Amino acid sequence: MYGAWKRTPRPVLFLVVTLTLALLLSACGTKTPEPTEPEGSTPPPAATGPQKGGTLVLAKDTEIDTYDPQKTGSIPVASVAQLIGDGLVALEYDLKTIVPALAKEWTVTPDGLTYTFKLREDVLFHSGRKFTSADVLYTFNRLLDPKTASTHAGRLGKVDKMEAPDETTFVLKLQVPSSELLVQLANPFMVILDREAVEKYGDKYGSQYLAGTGPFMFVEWVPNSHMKFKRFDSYTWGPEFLKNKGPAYVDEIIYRVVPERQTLMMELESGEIHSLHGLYPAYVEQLKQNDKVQLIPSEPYLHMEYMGMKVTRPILQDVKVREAINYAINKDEMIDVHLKGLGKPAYSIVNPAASGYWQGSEGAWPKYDAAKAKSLLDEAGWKVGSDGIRVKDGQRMELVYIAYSGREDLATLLQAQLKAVGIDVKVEQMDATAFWPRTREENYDLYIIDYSYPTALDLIGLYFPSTQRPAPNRMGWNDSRTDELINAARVATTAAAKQAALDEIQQIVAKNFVWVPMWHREQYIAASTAMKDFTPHNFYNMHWFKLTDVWLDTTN
Amino acid sequence: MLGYAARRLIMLLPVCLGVLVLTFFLLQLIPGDPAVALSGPNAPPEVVEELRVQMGLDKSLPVQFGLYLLRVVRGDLGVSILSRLSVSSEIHRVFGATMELTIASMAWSVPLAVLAGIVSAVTRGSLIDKGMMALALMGVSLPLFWVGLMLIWLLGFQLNWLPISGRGATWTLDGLRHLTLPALTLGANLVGRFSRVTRATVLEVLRQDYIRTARAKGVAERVVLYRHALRNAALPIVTLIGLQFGWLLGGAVVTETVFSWPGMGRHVIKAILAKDYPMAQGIILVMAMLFVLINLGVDLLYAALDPRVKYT
Repeated sequence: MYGAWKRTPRPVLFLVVTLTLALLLSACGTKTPEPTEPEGSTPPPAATGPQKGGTLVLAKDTEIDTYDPQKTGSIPVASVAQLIGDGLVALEYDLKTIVPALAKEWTVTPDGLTYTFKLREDVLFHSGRKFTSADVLYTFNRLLDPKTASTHAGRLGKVDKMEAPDETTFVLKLQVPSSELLVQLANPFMVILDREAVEKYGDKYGSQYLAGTGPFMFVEWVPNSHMKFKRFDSYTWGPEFLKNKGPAYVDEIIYRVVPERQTLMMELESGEIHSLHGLYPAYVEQLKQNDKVQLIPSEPYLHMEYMGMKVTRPILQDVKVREAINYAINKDEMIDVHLKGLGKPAYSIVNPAASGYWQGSEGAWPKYDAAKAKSLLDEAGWKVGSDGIRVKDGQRMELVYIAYSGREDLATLLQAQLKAVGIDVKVEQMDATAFWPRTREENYDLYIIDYSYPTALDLIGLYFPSTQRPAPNRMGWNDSRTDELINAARVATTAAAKQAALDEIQQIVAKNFVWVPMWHREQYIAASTAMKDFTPHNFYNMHWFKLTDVWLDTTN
Repeated sequence: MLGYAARRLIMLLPVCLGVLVLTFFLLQLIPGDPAVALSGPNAPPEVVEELRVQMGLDKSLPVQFGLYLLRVVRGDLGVSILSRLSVSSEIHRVFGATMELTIASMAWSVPLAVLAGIVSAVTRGSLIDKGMMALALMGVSLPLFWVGLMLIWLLGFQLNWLPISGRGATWTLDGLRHLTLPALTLGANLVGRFSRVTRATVLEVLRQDYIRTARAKGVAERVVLYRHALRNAALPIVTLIGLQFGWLLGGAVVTETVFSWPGMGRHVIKAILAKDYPMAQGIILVMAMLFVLINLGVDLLYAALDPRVKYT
């Protein structure tokens, strides 16, 4: 015992020495010091064309529960789904043009009810098995099976029946036409699954294994740490808008989880991470100073941030009050603070760049005018009380605003701006996991959320049908004309008929002030300059699509 | 002593049951719905309902708990209701990461802290003492995330000596390099705690009569210190180390987050927030058992260190 104590200083010494050695070793192991350039020498030539090889490192800040594309709507899963698999069709970077993918061509009957897809014959799954129409049938049957509990089931429209008459033909028969079926099939989550892999792994498919026909193969998923993929060498069937149809240039992809934002930024700035999902506006200025990082603007970025108003609530039932709130919100101030100026105020429920946008939107939505807001509230019978908050029939003008944590600045501004016109906002802030179930309840008034969408109908069809109450139609908007028009737009077989229906819906929403459209974000995707030929894909804000064009410049 | 240890081990059973009951019902108090978490904000009601059935959330709470308990008794911790990954295999994985970090931080901080504490106590009031205690105070009071970020900034980002975050494979140079920064961060805090306690305890012991007697007998100061003082000072230090070890197993969340370290702390927090009760309970159960075992180990160590302590 005594001896043990006497020896204490020695292990300390040993440890100090080992740790110092470890540090030194590690210093040697990383980067050799940059050689000082002798005078007159020329720098090494920059790589001129794509190089094969290397590990591409991507990152995000939160972990997802499952990567089964049919079982989740989490955005980071969208890009994983497109690395591992392919859809029948794909959407180009412009978010408008549909191009062939696994289906090389298709026909639609004039009544818009029957879609016949001719499939590629040269496609293999990662296992080496040939892809056939039976896999399409299996994938969509699984999607529609209530046991799968898929949020994407509705994307197929009202299915009458599906058939696979031969190996390369897939027929989808609908009960009613679906004007956006192809866009929905191009949705990143609608990839064709490998039946054998799904059946083998059962409910562990998506966490223990993923498989498909995509340019990258699943290697491993270590939750809260990383995912690893390696190149699928047989891949040659990338959609036509990619320069490289396959196989990909990079050997492998590591998709890391880095929960701390500062750490994430240092990883990016030091080049350890090549690109990250979801860049916070606060870091844009900082990254602009770094010549090793490129900031690629997301364009078009079909993304909507809005404040929903529950029209069923006692105070918000009155359309005048909702109109007044639209006038009371100073969007510019919020954009400056919350988005560090990276956004434009929205005066429409759909981005002007989206197909289906109503041209009359701009003049239909109020611009900030606090005086007008006050007079509208006066007209509605809400008189300013002794404490500055309005009162009507003994009721104080109190609204409950629910929010998820991390957006305290927005809550404070909202509170201040509405207080200025005499409305008291009670803020209920909670973690995102508690927030979403809370939005399904009835006892709150206001909330601000955002959504990425490919078309006006996609957004409108999600938020405004009465059948979508209590969520995602959290406003409780219940209007038979809106329902009729949404249905008309969905089954329209001509572009004009569809646009007419969409225009009228957007007018109804504007006239009734169901929302306060907040802003269109100006988003950047950050990538290391070593990541060459990278074009972000903004469908569902997924950022990384196939990545067959991307190569790593080792001279960078 | 064996009988004592056996009795303590048997006591683990009620402790585990208590932990399970408590965590299960506490988890119910947290707002949120795992079915909504999995299916996403815009899922139609029928999808959410189907998932609730599949997750077993449609059953009453006592039934859910009973079914869970039956499985645990059979040694099956179940599967995550979200990812469907096996709870025991996930625990196995994150436990390795956590142990690696805990042991590495302890390995350098405990000896250094004990040494610093002794030197401080012996040289009480000197500049060395003041300097070391100021450092110790910094170690204890600087927030872990700040220390972590500063170390990353300096050693990882500016000097590029070490990886910024993540975990490498165990027992490799890469693994060691990834481990260095988080172990330094966590250990810096521990050095602070341990050295202050060591100093205080040694000072306390040095004031005792038997030390005065030893010195009066003419025993060399070295012998007084190592043979008489330190052994008596060891008990509180060992207790603190034991407690800290247990605390680190679950409490290193901040360090794990800053360094993207896939350990138990982060895992359990995520499971709790998502109300993934099999995963959360499984990890908390393991943590509680470890805590009890470590405390038992500390108690048994008392007997070895102090002849007055006897367990029967």
